[in-house]
Amino acid sequence: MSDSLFDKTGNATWAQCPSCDYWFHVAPALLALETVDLICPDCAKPFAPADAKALIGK
Amino acid sequence: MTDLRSYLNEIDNAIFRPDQPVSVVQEITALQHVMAAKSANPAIFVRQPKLADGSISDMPVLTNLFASRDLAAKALGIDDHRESAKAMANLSASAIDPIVVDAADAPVREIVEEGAAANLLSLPALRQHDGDAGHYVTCGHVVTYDPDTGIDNMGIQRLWVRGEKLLGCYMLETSHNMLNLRKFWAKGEPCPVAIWVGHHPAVEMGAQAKLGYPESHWDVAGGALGEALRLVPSITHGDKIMVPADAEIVIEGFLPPNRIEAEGPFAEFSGYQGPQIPNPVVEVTCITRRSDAIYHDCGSGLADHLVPDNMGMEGAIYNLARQVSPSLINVHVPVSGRRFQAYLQFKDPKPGEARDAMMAAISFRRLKAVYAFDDDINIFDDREAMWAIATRVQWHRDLMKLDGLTLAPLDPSAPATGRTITKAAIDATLPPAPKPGQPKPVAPRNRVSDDALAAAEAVLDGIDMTGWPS
Ligand SMILES: [Zn+2]
Repeated sequence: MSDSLFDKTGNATWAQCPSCDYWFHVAPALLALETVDLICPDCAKPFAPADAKALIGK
Repeated sequence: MTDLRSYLNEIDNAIFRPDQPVSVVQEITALQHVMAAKSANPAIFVRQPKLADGSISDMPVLTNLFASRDLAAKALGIDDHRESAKAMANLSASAIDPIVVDAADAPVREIVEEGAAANLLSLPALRQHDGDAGHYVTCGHVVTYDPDTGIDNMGIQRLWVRGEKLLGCYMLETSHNMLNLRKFWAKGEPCPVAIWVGHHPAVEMGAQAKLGYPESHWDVAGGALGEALRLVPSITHGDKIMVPADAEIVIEGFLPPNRIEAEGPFAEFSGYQGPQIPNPVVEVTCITRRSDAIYHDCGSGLADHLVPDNMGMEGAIYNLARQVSPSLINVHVPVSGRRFQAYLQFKDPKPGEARDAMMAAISFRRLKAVYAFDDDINIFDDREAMWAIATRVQWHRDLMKLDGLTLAPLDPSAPATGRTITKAAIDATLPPAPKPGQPKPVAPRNRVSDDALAAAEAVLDGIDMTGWPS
């Protein structure tokens, strides 16, 4: 993460479903809860944030 | 009786009714996108909504009801949509108290499905956009009440249909419904809720007026309609939560305490997808509806979604800015700027007055930028707004940046961390004339005479321009 006020860094956090590999847009506030399952919008599988195949931007 | 169907009869020639089945999975929403690209904004009435399993729903889908500013304003009894800021600013002043009617006299009670019979999957809710978490009720007016005062609140919130009796419910932390929910949950109690769908558009727009807390919306909605709203006690909550007798559908239930689950993603007003977030859920106890109910959908992120709320914003911003600026004559929250930008229009503002007004307006939480224009600019035409900005602004002089103001929710460009942003106010007004009646000290704008314009209109009268190069 850059300290520059002028670098464009974006604000989106992404999770990848461990079941179907689908990438979807997740709020940091949801990931921070840890106890609430994410739900894949593509295959509907619920999974803990720790079980995401990958997370970007957390 | 004034309701959705009486309104549809009034605007019969402004409704597009496709004959063929159209899928609730993206196809109805795609119709809205294609029409918007052609600047066509009729209401869309789908007689044969094709459900996700390929079957045809018995319940028709109405959408795009609010896409036209012209139609939305006329629904409120405003002849010219450009007058909506003043009309919405005065909505609270014309409030009419609701009346309570017998359930037997409530069309929304024609069919009552309680307990096991209640099934959300019987509604033709749309899955609007690629990447949405599922099918959403997008025009559900969510009613809760403050347990301390008993005063109800109402707001449109996106509702994810997760099963026969389960809805995910998006609630902004600062929303009045969330304040009510927190009070119930603090006592360890479920928060009672009723959600109504479909009514005369004036009721739906009045229901979205920006009010204080706790403050009921029923009388303002009645004022917008021009007659007392007919209410009936809900089945589940009795007179603690009233619902409109002339609505199309009512969904009742509870938000169980401290039950927070993932909700979204969902394509949002910004034109970008809102992320999956933690939200409460609604456990449904009962669905009531008309025997021939019309399901009202609202195309998220489209003009259909933006126009009614932006008109409400125009009223609120007019009230804020008018307090410091008597020369403020109008406000437009353009669909092009989603809910992040507002245009303020002035008639001969005194030195500093446009800036004062912009400072008042910028405090409206969702706004990121406000612009000041003169009365010769049509603030309902983005091309004229851009022309004024290009030709009347010197950036060292006319751009004000204000740091540390409230973040606009769902702003895709907001900083990843931090809770405040920098907002901008841009003064695109001309310098004042040295004395009243004298020309302003700037070059005059190009124009042709009124006679020449009338002659040109006469030449073009009746000419079909379809097929001409755009
Ligand atoms: Zn998946």
